[in-house]
Amino acid sequence: MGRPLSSFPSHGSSPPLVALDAVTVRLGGRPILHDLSLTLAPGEVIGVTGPNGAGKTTLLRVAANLLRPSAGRRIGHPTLAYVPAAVEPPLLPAATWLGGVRRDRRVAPTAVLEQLAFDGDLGRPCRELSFGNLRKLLLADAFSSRADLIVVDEAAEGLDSHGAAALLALMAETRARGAGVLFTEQQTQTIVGADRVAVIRQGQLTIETASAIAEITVSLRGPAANVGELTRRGTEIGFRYVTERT
Amino acid sequence: MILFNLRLTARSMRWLGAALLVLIWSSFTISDPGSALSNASSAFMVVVAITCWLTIAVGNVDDDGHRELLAAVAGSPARLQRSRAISAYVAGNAIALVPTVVGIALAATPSRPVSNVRIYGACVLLQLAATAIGVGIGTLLHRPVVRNGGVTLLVSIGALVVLVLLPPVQHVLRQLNDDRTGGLLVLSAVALGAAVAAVAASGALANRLN
Repeated sequence: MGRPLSSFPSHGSSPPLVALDAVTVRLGGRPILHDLSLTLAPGEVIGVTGPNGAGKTTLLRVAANLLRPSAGRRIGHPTLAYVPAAVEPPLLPAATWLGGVRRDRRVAPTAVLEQLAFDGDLGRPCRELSFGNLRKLLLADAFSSRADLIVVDEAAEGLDSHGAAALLALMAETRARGAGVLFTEQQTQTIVGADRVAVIRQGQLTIETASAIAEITVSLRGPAANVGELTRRGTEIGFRYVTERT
Repeated sequence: MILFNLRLTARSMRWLGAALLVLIWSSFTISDPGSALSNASSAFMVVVAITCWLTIAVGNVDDDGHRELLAAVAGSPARLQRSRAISAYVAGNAIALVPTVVGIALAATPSRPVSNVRIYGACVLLQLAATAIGVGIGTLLHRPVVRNGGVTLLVSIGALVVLVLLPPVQHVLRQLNDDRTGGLLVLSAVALGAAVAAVAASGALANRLN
């Protein structure tokens, strides 16, 4: 028998939504993740970053129960919403797609679309949307759902600055309602929305702490001025770690 | 999810080939109809083929990213695989109604006396069995289980050939051609059982191969 979910360390008072216990993933014989453990508590936002090919997307797919680990376990059965990094636009009109993909929603997806400054025509086929608007459509589906865990690959991919700021606000709302968010990010745009940042290198977690954010921000973007701007933006929407890192 | 799968497939127009097969079979049957049971017998392989086609069309209707998005909504790749198999079964039976109805409506007089209830029951049962077999074959031949379109085509044709050569299937089809229904119940039960097993296997494979 494996360990119960409640026995895993959680950053909140309740048991984690999902826990990865010594997960190893091999794809085509090649090791992608190696002995990786991570827990995500209700109301927690975790950002995963790292170089290309480090295993970020694989980690998300395991957490979202889309990929079985070769060794180790995924524990927990939260309801899920998953936003892939790339998707071929569905053939349906955007409104039909949004109405059909899931029935039970927390809020109307149009309200989330408005928040994200969606600029497309919902009556037209998804393939006629720009890449950014298609991303916003996928994000609106996920963040309007009742999912306990929202998993977003390449969170800010294709988003304009307004969209990225709205995504940070949506993450904060998700945290406030007690659901979790797990996302990957290459840039610093949305990593500031995370309570914890996990850095993956060669399939292993090398850092897993909020205080790493400043280091990551600097290493990814370089000039300290950008860090200041991001810190200011983070403070505006009330992220609690910001005082830690300045 | 079932309705959503059907909407996506309807939009993709990938059902056109299956509809064309039905049209061709219907035009041949209209020009030279046999008895209702004999028509059902001749429609059997067509119905298996169109349902296999539709199952593969439903399964391959989107790319990996979109399929993973839906798998997360469904709970796992296996659950999505199941919902797609059910969608294909619904679509297959909807299209297969055409040959079934045409076969009954235009039937010539049977060579031996058979009650109408027996004829209708046998036709419906054969349709349900044929669509189940088609789903059973198709569910193992679309993404993420099989990703190569050429392999899907070759294996599905091979499976249809093997099916028609199976002695129990040949026996039932010959019986129907002779306006008898012997072995039909057993064939239907085996077909449904095999289809359920195939869908379960494809779900397990989807969880591993996704």
